[in-house]
Amino acid sequence: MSDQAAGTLGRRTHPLTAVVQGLGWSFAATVGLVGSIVSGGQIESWSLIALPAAAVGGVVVGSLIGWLSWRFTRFVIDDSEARLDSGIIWRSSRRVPFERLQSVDIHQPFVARVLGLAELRLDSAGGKESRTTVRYLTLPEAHELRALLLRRAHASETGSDAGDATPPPPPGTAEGELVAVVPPSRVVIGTILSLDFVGAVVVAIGAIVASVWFAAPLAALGGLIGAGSWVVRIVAERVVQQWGYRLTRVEHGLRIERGLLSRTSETVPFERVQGVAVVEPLIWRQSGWSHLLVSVAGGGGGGDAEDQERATTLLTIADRELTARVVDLLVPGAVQDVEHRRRAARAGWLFAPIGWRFRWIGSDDVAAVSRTGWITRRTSILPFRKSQSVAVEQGPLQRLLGVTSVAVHSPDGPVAVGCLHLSPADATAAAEEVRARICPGGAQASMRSRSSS
Amino acid sequence: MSDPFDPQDTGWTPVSPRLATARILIGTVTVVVVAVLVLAVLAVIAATTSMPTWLLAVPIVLALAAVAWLVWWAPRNARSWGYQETEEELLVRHGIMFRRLVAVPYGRMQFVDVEIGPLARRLGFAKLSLHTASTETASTVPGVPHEEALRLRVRLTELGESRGAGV
Repeated sequence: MSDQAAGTLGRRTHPLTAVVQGLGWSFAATVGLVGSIVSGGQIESWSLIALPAAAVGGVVVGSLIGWLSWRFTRFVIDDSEARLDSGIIWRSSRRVPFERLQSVDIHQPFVARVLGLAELRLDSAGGKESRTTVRYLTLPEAHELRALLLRRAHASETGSDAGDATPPPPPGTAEGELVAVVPPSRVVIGTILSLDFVGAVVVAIGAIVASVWFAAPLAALGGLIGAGSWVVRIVAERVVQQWGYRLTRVEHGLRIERGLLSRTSETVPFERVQGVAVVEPLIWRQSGWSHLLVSVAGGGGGGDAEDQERATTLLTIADRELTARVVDLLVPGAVQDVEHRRRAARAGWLFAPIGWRFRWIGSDDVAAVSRTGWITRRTSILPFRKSQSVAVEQGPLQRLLGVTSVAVHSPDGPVAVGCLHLSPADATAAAEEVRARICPGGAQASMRSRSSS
Repeated sequence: MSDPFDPQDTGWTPVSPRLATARILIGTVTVVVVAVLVLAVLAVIAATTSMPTWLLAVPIVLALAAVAWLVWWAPRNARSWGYQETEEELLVRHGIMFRRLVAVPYGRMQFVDVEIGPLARRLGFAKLSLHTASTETASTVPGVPHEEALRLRVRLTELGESRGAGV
């Protein structure tokens, strides 16, 4: 980069960070106290004073400590890395080299969102603590820094010098082309129509009916609490987190923005997409709705399992047309309903008396595609570019029935292409078709030698 | 013939038959050690309680059965392993009960490991592992003769680089 002065950029986080931390402490203190009062069994007069005291005290102490740590926190971006220096007594300096930077997401926890603040999450490749969180910045500033980071990371990746050549888009405006908006009404209807939600509601109603019938209110309470927490979980995951869902196409990927209380904005880079799965639950299928999952290399960063799961859900609910459009964006040229299919053999019915009829593996020019499931239908699409190896397998029982399985291996994720219990001839052919596509000329050698013998 | 695991070509390189020797040796030693330990415990119990002494024969019979199975299984399994270098991929097959054939394109190999244990070193073979971006590939070839393993590693690494390993 030619201009060194413009290259390095040091920032403080926003001063209100301290207040957010204070509110967090206050919340924690209050919840803790309420918990101990409830578990104590009796409400005494002191608790009426202690509660507001804890709330106010939490704010004051938390804000004070937050202010101190804010004073010692600096976020620096230079030509080759981003750095977060923090700590009052124990100084720490976290470095994220651009060549290892995988994604930059913006997350707004509820409290921060109320104050117009956001945190920046930097995920880098490998390691356990691969996530660096910068909290908090104003939202426009977060957007601006993300754009800057991504530009520089991309420049270091391609080795081009034009990192800052393109002027940053004005902060706050939505960059990129809008692909889809999922209206809250559809999220709600989709949730209501899902099997597990119906199941939870049925269990809850069953518990009430049973308790009235047997006049045992306590039993009803147990059932209700179980089913109720289940419903709450489903609603929290599928409605609250997916509220106001927007999918936009940005320079190198797709950007997802979603959330009712806390709001998240994350990017799925096209080049890291390893595979796509379209999941169609029984009830949704009648309306042509589906759920779209992606495998992303290094997806979820250092986050917990729950984070990883969310990182892989690209569309919570989408109609046929939108699904097809997004699949085409992720794996250009791929379709779900490939013409060329090889179906599981009837001989393997013993393994799946109903399911065998619904299984097939096929391929088109760009991807291997397989489908399984008759209650929840799952179509997995794995681009040949990302396919790693192909295996043909057979166990003793399978040999007895004369069937063989095929699996196409992809980097780990929710997408697995393969088909169980094909006829041996189909299995061989399917494997060879995929192999020939992964490396042109690869399977031909062995096909030739086979046909000549 | 449509057997997907046994194409009619002759290109399969077998692994060293000493793999069976090594497995029988290691397996027998393990079985003997476990059997002796169990026998010792049973002997103490038999001495202190009224347990019938003939029960002591059970671990011996089981151990003999295990060794017999091992002697039957190990050469059979060692014979089932084979690999083949084609123009663009390495094919690995193995198993008689549970059969598997994996095709790994050279361009997808990230790295190749050669692992040699103490006993394997004496017997002159090594374990070759191929790694792609997918853990499912799970492609290891045990019992590759030492020289051959080193040759393969060099060759596969070269091929991988020239074909451009990519995720």
